[in-house]
Amino acid sequence: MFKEELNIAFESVRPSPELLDRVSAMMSEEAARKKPPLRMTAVKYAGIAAAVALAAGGTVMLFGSTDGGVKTAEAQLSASKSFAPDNSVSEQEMIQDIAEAAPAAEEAAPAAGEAAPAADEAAFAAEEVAPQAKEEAAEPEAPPAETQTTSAASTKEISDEAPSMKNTDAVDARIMSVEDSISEENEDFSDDRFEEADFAAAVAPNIDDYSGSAADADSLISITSINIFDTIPPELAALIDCNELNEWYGSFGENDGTIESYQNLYTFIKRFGISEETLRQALGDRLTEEQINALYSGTADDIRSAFGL
Amino acid sequence: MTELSLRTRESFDAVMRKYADMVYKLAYSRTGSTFDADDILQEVFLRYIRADKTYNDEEHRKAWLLRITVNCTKSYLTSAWNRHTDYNEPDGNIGADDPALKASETKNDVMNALMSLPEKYRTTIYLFYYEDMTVAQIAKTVGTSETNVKTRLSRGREMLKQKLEGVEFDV
Repeated sequence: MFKEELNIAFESVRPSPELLDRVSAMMSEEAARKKPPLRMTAVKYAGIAAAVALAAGGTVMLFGSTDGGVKTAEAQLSASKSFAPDNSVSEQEMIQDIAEAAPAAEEAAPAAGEAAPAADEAAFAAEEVAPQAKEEAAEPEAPPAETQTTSAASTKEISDEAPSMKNTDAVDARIMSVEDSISEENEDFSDDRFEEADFAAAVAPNIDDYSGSAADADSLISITSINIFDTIPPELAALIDCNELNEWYGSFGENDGTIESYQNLYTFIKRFGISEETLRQALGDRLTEEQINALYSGTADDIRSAFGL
Repeated sequence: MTELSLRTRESFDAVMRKYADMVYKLAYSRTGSTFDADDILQEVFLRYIRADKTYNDEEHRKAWLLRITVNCTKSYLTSAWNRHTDYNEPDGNIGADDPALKASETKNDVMNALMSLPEKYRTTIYLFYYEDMTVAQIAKTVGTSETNVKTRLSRGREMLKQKLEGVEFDV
């Protein structure tokens, strides 16, 4: 039968172990460099943006709205970084700050949302007092008036200090243009996993999950998504014979969510009897004490907790 | 556990080692060159890690990798250099150090016969008989119609019958 003959003919057509190791190293390198874009629609996630500004030690100006909710928030990071022309911070740097402060933002977002109606009420009250304040103080920029016209005033303020950050729409447009360029690159295989509706569920939890964060010119806001626990680093894999390693990789069945059911640092250490000392020598600078302890003397829960799984 | 976290649980490295054979063999069957297959393997898994896609299941992942491999080999086959290179004969590196292969004339016969087919027939035959893909799956992977795939299968079989005396096809 042709099928059997074809199978026999292709039996010996396979990549060399050296090639696999090379590709593996290349992938690890790429994974370490990889920073999937974190997509943020400023208007939709105004609460988060506002909380980020608070977390960064800045000020937040809430825009009043007819339904009592928060429509938009302009995050001003002037307290932590000056937007003065002689010490200006680029839009990208500002957004990087937001990325770094994102975990705090996540926690603070509900509070910001809850605080919004109160802010609206305060704004309304201030609005009522404003005429009186104007008369008494005869100051054109009385606080109530400023609050009432937050949109114009704050936009102007930010515009004066940081021309590239005139309003959230501009930021949003910039982010969307980056998204467009990314989706063009992956046009054939794009998917919906970063749909806005899934944003909080799909992306936000991972901000805490993975070690390290970074941003560069290619992605406005980004995080690394590879957990060291799930990737056997080349320096560790190099200690094991290629064939044994391949055999181990192929020995796993379906991942049922338990630590023992897939290829990770724990199963690797168990299978190949890697000692704590060897692990420290190979990965000491990349693992915390807590992680090493969890691997060698902790429970599955300890490991999950130590690696943020 | 969310789909996203499931995806991150899957080690990229583990996926590469699991599918490296499949990608390499398909790349070789299309290009007829181990050197090109080496390059294509690297390219495919770089694209894999860069795409960072979420897959519904293993079949989805496998289909995606096969499609990327076909796309990558297309680039190789249409490059200026390769347009002037004859891929009708497999290079001598395959199994050169494999005594079992040397001992088996059948292996070489089948391999040579397959590799002598035009690329589109070769790929279709390979995916159908080696990867056990259906006509519909092949059509999707290589980006053509099911009718085309059926025609290619039929013509490919005819050509192989002429080259391999007594060969029998299951389908």
